[in-house]
Amino acid sequence: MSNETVLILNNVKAGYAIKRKFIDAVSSVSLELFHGEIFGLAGESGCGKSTLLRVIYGFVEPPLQIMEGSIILKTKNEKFEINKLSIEELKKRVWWRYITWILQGAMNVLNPTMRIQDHFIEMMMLYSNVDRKEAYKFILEYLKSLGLPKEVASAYPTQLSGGMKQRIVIALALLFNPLVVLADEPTSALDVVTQRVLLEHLLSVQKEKRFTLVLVSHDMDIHGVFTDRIGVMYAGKIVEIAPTKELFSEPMHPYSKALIESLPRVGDKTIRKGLTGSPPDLSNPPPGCRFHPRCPYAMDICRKEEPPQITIDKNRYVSCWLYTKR
Amino acid sequence: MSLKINFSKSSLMPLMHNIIERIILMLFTIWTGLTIAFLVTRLSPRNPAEQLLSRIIAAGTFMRPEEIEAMRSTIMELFGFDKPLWEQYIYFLKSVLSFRFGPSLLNFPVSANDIIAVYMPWTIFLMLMSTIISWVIGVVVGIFMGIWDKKKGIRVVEYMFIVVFPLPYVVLALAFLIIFVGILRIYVGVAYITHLTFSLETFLAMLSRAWLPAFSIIVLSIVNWAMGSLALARTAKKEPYVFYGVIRGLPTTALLKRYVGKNVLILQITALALSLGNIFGGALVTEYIFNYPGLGTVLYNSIVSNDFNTMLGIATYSILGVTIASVLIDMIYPFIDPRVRYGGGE
Amino acid sequence: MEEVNNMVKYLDMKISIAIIIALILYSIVVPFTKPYDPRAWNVVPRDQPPSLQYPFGTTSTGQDVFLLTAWALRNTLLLGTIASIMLVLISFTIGSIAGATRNALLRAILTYLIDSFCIIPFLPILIMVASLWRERLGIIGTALIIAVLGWGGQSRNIRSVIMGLRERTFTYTATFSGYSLFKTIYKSYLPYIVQWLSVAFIFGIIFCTGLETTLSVFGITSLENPTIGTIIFWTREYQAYLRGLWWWYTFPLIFFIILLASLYIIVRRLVSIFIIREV
Repeated sequence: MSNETVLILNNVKAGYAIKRKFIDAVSSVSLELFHGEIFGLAGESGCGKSTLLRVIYGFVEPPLQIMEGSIILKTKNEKFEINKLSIEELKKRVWWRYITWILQGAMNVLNPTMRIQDHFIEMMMLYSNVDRKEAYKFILEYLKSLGLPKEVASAYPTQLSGGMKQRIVIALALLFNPLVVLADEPTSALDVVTQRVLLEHLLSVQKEKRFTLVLVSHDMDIHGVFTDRIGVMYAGKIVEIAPTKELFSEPMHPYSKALIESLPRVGDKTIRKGLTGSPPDLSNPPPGCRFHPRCPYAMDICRKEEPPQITIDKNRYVSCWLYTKR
Repeated sequence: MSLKINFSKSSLMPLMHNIIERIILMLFTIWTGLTIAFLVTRLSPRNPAEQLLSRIIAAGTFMRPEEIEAMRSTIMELFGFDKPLWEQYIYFLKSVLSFRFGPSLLNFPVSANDIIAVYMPWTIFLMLMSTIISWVIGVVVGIFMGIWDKKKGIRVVEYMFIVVFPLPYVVLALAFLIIFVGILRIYVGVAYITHLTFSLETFLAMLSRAWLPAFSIIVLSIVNWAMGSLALARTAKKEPYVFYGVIRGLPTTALLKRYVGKNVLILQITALALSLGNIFGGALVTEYIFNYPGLGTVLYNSIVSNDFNTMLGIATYSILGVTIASVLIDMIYPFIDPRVRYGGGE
Repeated sequence: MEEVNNMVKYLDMKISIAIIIALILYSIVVPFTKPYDPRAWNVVPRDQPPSLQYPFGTTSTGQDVFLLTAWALRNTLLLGTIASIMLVLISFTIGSIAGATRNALLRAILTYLIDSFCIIPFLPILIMVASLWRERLGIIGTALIIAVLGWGGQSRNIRSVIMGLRERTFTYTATFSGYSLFKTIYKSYLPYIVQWLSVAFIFGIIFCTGLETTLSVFGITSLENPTIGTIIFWTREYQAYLRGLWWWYTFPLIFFIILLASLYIIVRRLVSIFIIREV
């Protein structure tokens, strides 16, 4: 992990306009991502993680809208203001070159009527000027470098197991050596053993190629083992950002505390406590801090005003009234 | 471990088993269809032999009562009407196997086979040409419409198709007839060649009579195929792998061809095969309306005159066509669709 | 924008329903007001173009087109509806049993029966049967033979739908929870069945109407009871289109096209509503 910033989100507000309501899925999110780090985005289903990825990537189509804020991608030579670029421009200049997106449910993202090699060749011919033969040779080498057997190339997706398909998807994502890789739940729907193998594969490739990986998962175990830093999301807001070790040893935000404390530990036989209640309706979120209805430490001010993002330390931020100096 | 790849080219062994089952079922079905057709023909309260007899008497010279009797029994014998029903049935089944359907009542003494043989090329020419042209155009149009289905122009076209789609073919055919012949005064050729060869002359002669009926079929069929492909394309658009293609920056043309288009095409090929199987049956109305010299006209005439042999002959071809086409496509389909050919990996 | 789309979606269905109701009213009310026997000929002067007295003109058989169209619509709709009901009943019964039964033999027999009826060239056979029994077939008779010969396709359809339902998870859930077959059908399948029946019924009207019209154009049905098809037949007999009697065939055809298009739009919308509910 270096100190070069690669992605800056500044007070981003985005959501879905459905029927007459507005679902506030990403609410005043500010974030900085550094070159070569593995950043985990944690939180329960429906908290806005996937929407945040979509917004970062720039695939914003109705009913999704960006209301405020900016998303800036910094490459060596250029700066892209992603929220200002149209999808056509993003397709031409940014997507797959500098930033890649691994979708949730990646089992089904490969075209069942195309061979694996054609998926890759298609991308190469789209983005560069090689002819088919050269592309094909390159693909074989590339797959080999990622540890994939060469029989995979001529296979159809239905012939491959889930884990293998996922590795292909990862290989596709890394084809042009992107700067940032957004991975949305890359391992759910796989069994635990495959999950582990896959993530370790992803980790080793990341170490080698040094891209920034944004790993979205609701599974805290994965975050604990594989990430450098974690951002905890709740109800569309980032409530805490911390280096992984510190988050696990000393969670600050009450929600993070609950998440960490619910994890089983070796040797500890006390009963795990969960949180009561359920996440709020994002079309009508509670006033003040969105977590206050479920928070054991809720104070008066929590019900009235939203807490600001407080800098505790370098790379340590919390959004909670407990930590303001009064 | 779960990183295995499944290379079973042998979905082949169970496939063999399946094929044999299918063929047996197919034979049973053909047999049932033919039996139904046979029974329906024998439902007639009218006696076709008598009709033929009266025609002969009316056309020819005076015959003495004994001669009429002799003629009657000859006719009965020739057509098997003197035998009990089940014997007629056995005889019919035999004739199916040998493809010789006996003398045609209407065109006596020409055999049903000969009549069919003469008119079949005309029907095949018309229907084959119409089906293939309309399939190609219809599916492509449907895919385009499916991909850009929110655009205003496409929606207008879609509503136009919606109006045409549910109409019975007769209405459309008559509309064409009225417009072209009645209003525009473009006449259809009346050429008829008995000796057909693979020559330009034959082709042009057939075309001169076939263009208008073909046009009417093609228009309705294009609408049919387009509506079907449109629905399929709309569904295919929502597949995750199409979305994944979009976010990877693939241009719409690529998505058109390799993602949505291929998907729809594979599904529509099955439908095409079944359509082709239906060629013999489909021509009846067209040829009647447009006065086209094909099996449809023959069939109609034979129905009206109770010419069982010809009717059953054509019905046989029709049944065989449909059934064989459907079994064939079932067998070939795995080779077209990679999803079916290779079993799942897990 | 999404909202406008949603409204428009159901707007065409609403318009179609309104049109159908209007057509039904037309076909019931008008004959009421002018009590001529629809089968009678030479009731009014022949070949008159549209005028105030005869808003749709008159035919070569001496009938008022305005009245004739109303009767034709009535008979066509009636026949189509009756035939469709019969057809759906037959195909549903056979197809759903074929799909739901666990008895392999029964399923094989029914499947084979369904397939057999699917491959027979039913138009020629229909024409055959209709022409043989022409005198005896009224509206109900014609509807009956259409249903009896044409049920194959829908049967295949419902069979695969039911088979699909059986494989769905909620069936296993129901079975493992101890639901009897009947209860399973009632609670889990019923909504799907109702949906299928309504779609099949309306589609059936379109299909059977088409068949009846075809038969009539061939002149095989009982030609005195006017339907749209018989009107077409008579216009051909009297060469209406060569003699410039455009009103005789144009008005009935326009109503016919509007009728079918409306029915079809309703079916399409129903299908899309059901699919949305599914998702």
